[in-house]
Amino acid sequence: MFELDQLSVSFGTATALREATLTIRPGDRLGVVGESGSGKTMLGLSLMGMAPDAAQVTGRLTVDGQEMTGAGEADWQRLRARKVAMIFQEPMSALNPLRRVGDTVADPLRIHMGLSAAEADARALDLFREVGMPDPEARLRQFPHEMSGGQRQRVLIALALACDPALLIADEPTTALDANIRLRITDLLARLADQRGMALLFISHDLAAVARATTEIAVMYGGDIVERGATPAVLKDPAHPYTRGLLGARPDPAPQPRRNGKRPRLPTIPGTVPALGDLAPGCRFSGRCPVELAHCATVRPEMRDLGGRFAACHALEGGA
Amino acid sequence: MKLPVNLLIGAVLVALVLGAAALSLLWTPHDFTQLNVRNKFAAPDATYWLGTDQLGRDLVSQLTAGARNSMAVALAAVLLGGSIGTALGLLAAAIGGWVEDLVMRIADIGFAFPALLFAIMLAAVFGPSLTNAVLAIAFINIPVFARVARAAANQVWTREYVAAARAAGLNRFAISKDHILPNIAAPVIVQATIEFAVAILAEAALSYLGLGAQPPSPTWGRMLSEAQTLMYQAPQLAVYPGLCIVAAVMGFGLLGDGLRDVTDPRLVRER
Repeated sequence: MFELDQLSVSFGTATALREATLTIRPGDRLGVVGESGSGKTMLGLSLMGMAPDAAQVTGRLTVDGQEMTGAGEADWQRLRARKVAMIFQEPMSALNPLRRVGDTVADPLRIHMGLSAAEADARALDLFREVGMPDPEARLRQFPHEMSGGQRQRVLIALALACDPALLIADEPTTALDANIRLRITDLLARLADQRGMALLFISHDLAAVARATTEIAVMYGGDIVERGATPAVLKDPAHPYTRGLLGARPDPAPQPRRNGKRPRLPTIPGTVPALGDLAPGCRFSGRCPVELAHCATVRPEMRDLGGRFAACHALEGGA
Repeated sequence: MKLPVNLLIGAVLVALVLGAAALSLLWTPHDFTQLNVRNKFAAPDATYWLGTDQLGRDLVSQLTAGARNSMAVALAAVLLGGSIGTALGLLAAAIGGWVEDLVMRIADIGFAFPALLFAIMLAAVFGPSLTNAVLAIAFINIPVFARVARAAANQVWTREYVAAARAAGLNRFAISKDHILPNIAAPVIVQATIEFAVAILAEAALSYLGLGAQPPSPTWGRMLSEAQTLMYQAPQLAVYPGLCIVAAVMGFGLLGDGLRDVTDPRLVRER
């Protein structure tokens, strides 16, 4: 069980993650969505103890009751791979070009599970089978450049699963993949989490993938978690104005035909994501928000219980 | 891909020098220690291809045996200095912080220390020998390789596959061995080739000063120093070892430059 209590990550005056409070229980499948720079990746890295050296981390983080706030690299090394593992966004650059992928997958097995080289190789083969790698025996001895993007992502999933982690963090696992592979990788992750009873933190801005893979969702903006709840409920009936804007900005897969030679414009949220340094001290979304109130920019809204769902917005006061 | 000219010329020169050195292990035209005072300063002929020296020893045999000694000293010195330096550079990059600063500042001091001075110091304390020449040349190589390895390693540490290895629970030493070292091999090997040339020159200089190989074992530097007093009588005795040194140093230098051109994509684009 992973418990974050008011966890913040900042770089000088720039806050990448503000007072995130979150509990991840065994078997949870939580999606984290938001634009680039919303703090999704920083949340994932914090759970790995891999926030950049320059970052100041405050608040509390406990893993199975063990206090990990301010823990050193050696403490985190014991947790990584076994308690929490991570899949990175770009499968090409996340694999050492000069190492056979089988060796890369065998590394944590030898180090954490104390397996011999032969045992680790056999286990790596099992993992390749489990993640649906075609021709797994031959793939173990290949180098990353000999594989397709989807195969490389399967290698990274096998690597992350090697030591049977309690939580798997997938940081935009499908962003760098071809559209036809995305669904398969998304479904694979959901199935693996289900079969192994493993918690999944699925970081993505692909709402369709999040809808398929997760049961719960957290929407982030400017370092804040602004809305949280069951995935279908949030996607069907978003409470926070940012979530509404995000859902409204999905391109229509069957757009209107050209009229007078002009295509209808793609829907957008007006304005741009502000730089981390000049975020409003109150609600981060103030300035772009369509329902903004006078005190939004200065007073931070509390997380409000909307009956099993939560959103942080002044405009929901009383009304919702 | 078109190979650069310096790589080709360097490879040919290096092959010639290494070939001569390897051949001398099995065979030399004559025994290079065999004195023949009646036949001193012989002109080149079918028996003595480059003639003989002031004691009647065959020059070709001495030069090839000298190549062997030079190569052995340079190889031992670069391997020793290169591995220690590379290990220190990897360590500095892996730990960072004050350890990195300390290692690199010590390397700076090592840089400031002239190799010859260090060799003379070693010779004064332990007596002149080939081993001390190797140690002195190895010593000056340590900071060179520490710098190259650290700079390259720091770059590799920012790669995503290193983050993935950390996420898989590998400690920084395992990461250095399995992920960093293979990926910094190219610049380190290029540097080793260049330092090989420097080591050949350093060995020649030390032998010339009498701080390297001791008689009768021939080296190019010692042949030069012995020929010095005979410059007016028999200048060819100085010219041949001199040419050999030039060929070997240039060969390894060009080979190193050529390898760098081929392995460093930034330089390729500039050309």
